[in-house]
Amino acid sequence: MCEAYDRAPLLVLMGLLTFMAAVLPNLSFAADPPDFSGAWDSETWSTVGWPTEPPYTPAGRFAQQAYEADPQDDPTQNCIPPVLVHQISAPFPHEIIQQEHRVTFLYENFHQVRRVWLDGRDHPEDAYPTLMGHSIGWWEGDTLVVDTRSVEAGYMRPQGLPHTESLHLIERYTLLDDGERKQLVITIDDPEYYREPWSVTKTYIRFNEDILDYDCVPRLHLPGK
Amino acid sequence: MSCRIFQVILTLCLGISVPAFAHHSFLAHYDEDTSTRIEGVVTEVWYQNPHARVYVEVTNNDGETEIWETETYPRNILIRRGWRHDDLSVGDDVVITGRQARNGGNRLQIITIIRPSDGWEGVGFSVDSID
Repeated sequence: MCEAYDRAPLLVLMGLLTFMAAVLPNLSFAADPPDFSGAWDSETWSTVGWPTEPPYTPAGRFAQQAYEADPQDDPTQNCIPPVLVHQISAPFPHEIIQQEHRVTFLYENFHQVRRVWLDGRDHPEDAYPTLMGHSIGWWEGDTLVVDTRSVEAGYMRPQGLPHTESLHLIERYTLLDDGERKQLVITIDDPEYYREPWSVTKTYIRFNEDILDYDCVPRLHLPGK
Repeated sequence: MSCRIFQVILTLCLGISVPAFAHHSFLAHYDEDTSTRIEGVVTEVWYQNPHARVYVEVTNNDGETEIWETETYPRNILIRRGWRHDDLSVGDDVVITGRQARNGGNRLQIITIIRPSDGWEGVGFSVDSID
């Protein structure tokens, strides 16, 4: 009995060391993720890197041609907020609030807010399509991966590029240049309008100015009125 | 001072692929192969998003006055590029160059806008921009 009591501290210490040896290496992988917090501005505007001839299906090409025949369809020119990819392609800054369970995008353009859930939830099965859709995310090393579904059908750019409600969007965000820039690789998967997924790469730079208010006031073409 | 209008249609060698941009929303409205120059008096400054506009009274070649609508970047971009809301006022004489509406209407996508009285220059679209 007495010997066992004498050895107890040693056994506890050995047990603690064994526990630390097992857990610490895993803890090292749970280091803080890269910090995307703050304001960002697009380096490439909306004119660079977007395909003029993506792999349309016949239905996709028809939708694009219909848009070209009626360019008034660009909703933003009438102050109707854009769908998600149209927002991403627009030449305005955005701000990111990064939390452990959620990353929030505050887009200057049209004041749109987008919440990316990092808490392990899945997409709801009955989500009603919205302009921003439903986004979940996770970390793959230093890359923030965002998976979005349930985006309302729309056009991804002022020039068109239609998508349906079947759109499955993957965004991969990584920091560059010691965190002063970030890269976004966005992959469009919409089998109704595109034969195969296709990708666009954008870069952003830290933005040291304030995000501005964005009033949008439609104006009919009534010169002199 | 009487205002004059000079409309010069120029073919611009922009070095870009026209088919690639032929379906742009702006270029659907404005002819990228033209450059039109107007002089006139500001009647209204529409300093707003999604695009700012300046309305100008111009005297045409027949001596008649007409209103032109000219369009440039969103207000938020003008702010960041130094065009303040009160920089341009009703009554100012301005000279504007831009791309004219494809339908021949009195509308321009602004490329340059200058107030000769003091040399002030506003913000127009870059000549190779498709936004």
